[in-house]
Amino acid sequence: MLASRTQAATTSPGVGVGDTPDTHNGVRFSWIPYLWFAPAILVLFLITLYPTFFVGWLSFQKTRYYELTGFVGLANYAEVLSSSAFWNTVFVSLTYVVGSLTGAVVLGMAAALVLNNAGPTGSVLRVFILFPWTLSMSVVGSIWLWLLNPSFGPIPYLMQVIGLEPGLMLGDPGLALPLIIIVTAWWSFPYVMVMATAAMQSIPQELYEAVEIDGGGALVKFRYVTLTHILPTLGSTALTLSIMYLTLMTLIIVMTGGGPLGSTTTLSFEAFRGTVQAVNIGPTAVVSIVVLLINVALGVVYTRLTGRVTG
Amino acid sequence: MANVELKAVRKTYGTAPVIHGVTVDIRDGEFVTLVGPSGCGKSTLLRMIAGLEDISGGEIQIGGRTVNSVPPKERDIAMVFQNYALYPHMTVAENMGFSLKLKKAPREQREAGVGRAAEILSLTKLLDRYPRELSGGQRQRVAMGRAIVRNPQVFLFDEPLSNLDAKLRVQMRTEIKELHQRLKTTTVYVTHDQVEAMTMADKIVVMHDGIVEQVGAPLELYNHPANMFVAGFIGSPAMNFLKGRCERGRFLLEDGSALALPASLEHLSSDAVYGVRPEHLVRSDDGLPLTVAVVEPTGAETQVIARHGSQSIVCIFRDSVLPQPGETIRVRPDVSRVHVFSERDGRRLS
Amino acid sequence: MSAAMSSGRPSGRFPAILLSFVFAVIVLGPVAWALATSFKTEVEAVAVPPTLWPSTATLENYLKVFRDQSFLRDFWNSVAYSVGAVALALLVGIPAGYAAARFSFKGKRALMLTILATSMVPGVALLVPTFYLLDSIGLLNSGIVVTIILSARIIPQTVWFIANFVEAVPVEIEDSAFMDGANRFQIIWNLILPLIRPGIAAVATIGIVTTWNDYITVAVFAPDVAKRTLQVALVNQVFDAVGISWSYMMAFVVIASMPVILMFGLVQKWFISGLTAGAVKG
Ligand SMILES: Nc1ncnc2c1ncn2[C@@H]1O[C@H](COP(=O)(O)OP(=O)(O)O)[C@@H](O)[C@H]1O
Ligand SMILES: [Mg+2]
Repeated sequence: MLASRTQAATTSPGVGVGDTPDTHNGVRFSWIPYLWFAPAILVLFLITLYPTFFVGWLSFQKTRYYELTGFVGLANYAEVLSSSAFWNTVFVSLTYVVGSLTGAVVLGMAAALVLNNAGPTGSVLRVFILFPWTLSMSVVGSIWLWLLNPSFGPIPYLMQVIGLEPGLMLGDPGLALPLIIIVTAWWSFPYVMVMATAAMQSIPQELYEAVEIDGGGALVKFRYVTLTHILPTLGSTALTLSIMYLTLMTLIIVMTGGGPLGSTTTLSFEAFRGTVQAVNIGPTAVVSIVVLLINVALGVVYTRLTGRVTG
Repeated sequence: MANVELKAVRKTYGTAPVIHGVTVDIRDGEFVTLVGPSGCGKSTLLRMIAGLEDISGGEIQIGGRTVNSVPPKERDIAMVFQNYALYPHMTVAENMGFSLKLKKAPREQREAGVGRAAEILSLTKLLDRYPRELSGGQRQRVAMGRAIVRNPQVFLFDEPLSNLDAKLRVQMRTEIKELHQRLKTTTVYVTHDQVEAMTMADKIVVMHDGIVEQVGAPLELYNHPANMFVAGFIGSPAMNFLKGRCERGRFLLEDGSALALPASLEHLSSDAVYGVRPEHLVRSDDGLPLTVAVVEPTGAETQVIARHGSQSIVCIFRDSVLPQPGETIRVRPDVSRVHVFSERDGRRLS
Repeated sequence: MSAAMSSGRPSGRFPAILLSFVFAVIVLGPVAWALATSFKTEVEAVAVPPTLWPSTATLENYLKVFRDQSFLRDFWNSVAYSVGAVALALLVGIPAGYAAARFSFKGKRALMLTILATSMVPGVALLVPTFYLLDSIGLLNSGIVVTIILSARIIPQTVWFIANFVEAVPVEIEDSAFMDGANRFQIIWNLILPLIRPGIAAVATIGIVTTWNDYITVAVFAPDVAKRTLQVALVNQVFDAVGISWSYMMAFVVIASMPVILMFGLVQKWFISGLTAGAVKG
């Protein structure tokens, strides 16, 4: 009921701009507003900003385990960027993100359309289908690890029944990444579904009626009404997921530990491994920065797309 | 009860001036409407009286006391907002009693105050409802009830009826007017609707772009608008303006046709604007020829939109013989009700 | 809510309903299997061919989880970290979000951009520097530090959400209360907080789910067994592959997910509204 009476206060689109001034205390300049932000900024500075600058600084240090032994300029960068292992990691990350995204978007869109046409049944099932999205990566990984277990897991068993040779499943360097992609898509397509559904339900019904009067069929409705309307939402959802996939480690830690033969070592997994193994944290800092930069780039695009901050 | 005095009041947001020095004197018990087009600064002015905006320059006095730096709760005023601003999670009674609760008034006093206000506004049966369970008109009344409970010296209204449908608006207009006649509390009422302003006010303040164009009683503004802005704003449909020249006691239009001038302007000779209200044009065989474009009968009267050359002219006739589109009619202004304005600054000449 | 593109007649919906169930099976099948396995005996869990329903349902696995000395401790850690993190995020996020929505002052835009920027820094990029810094000041294995780190991850979205919720409350309501004599604190406490309660619930739900599910933060910054959470305990068991009992694991999985499942069941509306808030431009 709030929504129906909020015209007056919601004229400004973003948060940062065009707000009502604080006229209540009638003071021109006041340090009080800053005080309201101070606790949040303090936490974010200590936990996020300072380590962000610090990782930059680390990347220019010569390191041995967790010891710093002096400034080395771009040596760490040179080492990382010239190693084929690093580029392999980049390639694995890219494959992982693109593969999972494709699966999640296709499945999510299909589920959204199907459930939207299934009446009340669809509304009920939608809630259930979203459920795995709330499970932790460790839980999802554990369940699938067992489902895919080559000795007694139900999935290899079913494959055998229909005459496929399951082989080593996650132990197979050629199969591990595709399997992890499938699990990721399985876990995240419900999110796409919910977003797409929310967007679809905000489409005015009249548009579909207009197409009907103009003589358009289901395909025209989908192409010119549904798709055009949900494309922005789909775009921002895809970006959110890309960021998530790029920085996802736990599923890989649980299911493959980056293996076999590095076939599932993504950039983020590498940053994790470098941190806990701590052989040489300088290059790990460089990998972290690469992840950071890609993430910020995607985040900026996302911000532009959704107009969170305008002006 | 109190009077309100605005003395050269100014307001700037950052560097943008919004109110350019407004001086208005509101007498004790008076019902004053602030009227003007959207964005002219009415709300800003009202909110300065309320104390919700600080005053960039000038002085505001309530009941003889300068209140420039007095916080709202100490100004002894109450305000009704356009969107009612009811507290959605409180019942009608809680909404109306909130100010007393903040004052830590004892329970009996609170109930008595709320009960009295509810009675005045026939809200007694609705006291336990939540705002979402009320109709638009009822919400409006609760908002007024909240103001009444405080028994203020001054009521401020900011477009209180613009969220209501047309019929309810007319009804609530009457109710507010009656309320004022009963309580006789000084009232400042903001609206962009000149009909509302005309029908409710003892005194109208016409604003435009942050300045006061004219202050006066409703009929005074209608009969003697000080300038073209007021002339065009007050009255519906709006006054017709014709460009031309005053010469030898007559007004010559650009195509050379002549219109009669009031006797007082016989000796004027300059470019000017001729203003005549649609209801002051009468059909006459020796009048100005017009080509009828659209005819809009409303029953009691008929509005005719016609053209003279490229100029569009609106007339209102009360006779039942309707002209047809395309037909030529001749009309003559009632010379006693003609207004002439300076071409240069729009000021009234007649 | 009219379902877009829905064919009005229930009969025309039949294929869609059928396909909906196919999706439900794809999604819930693995979960259901895990649930069923948690009731199987250790032997039956690895039987070939696999059984769908436990032939002899047993609660033994659950009892074993509960009997484990470390379970209560891990569970308590999980609760403490996630409730603490969400509480802290609300504590600092409500004032900031309110100020963002209601005050205008010099540098506000810069502040909001800073908060936005911090939300773009991925936790993974901060593993190495944070570990180094915590190690050098001796703050590894601190429950409080882990809580604050988890909180920092959800503070930006908390601030943004609160700001949006407050903006949706007509400012005239505050003006009105202000004229009624309320001060800022009374306005927030008596008006704003009750009015944005659904929003706060949505942010809190998402925050609890996010922090409860975290593995990395706790595993890296609090490697001490006494500080671990259920998620860490679960992953450790996977690593401890020798003698792993799958039925026990699945019971653990169910228990480790239980709070989140309950929360999802109780407030899935808020959960969904939190997910989709700001995603659809009307
Ligand atoms: N908080 C503000 N900051 C800057 N300009 C404002 C603010 N509030 C109002 N204005 C400007 O002041 C002018 C008058 O506004 P307002 O008093 O609301 O007009 P009205 O109520 O007559 O429609 C408008 O041009 C508006 O854009
Ligand atoms: Mg206004």
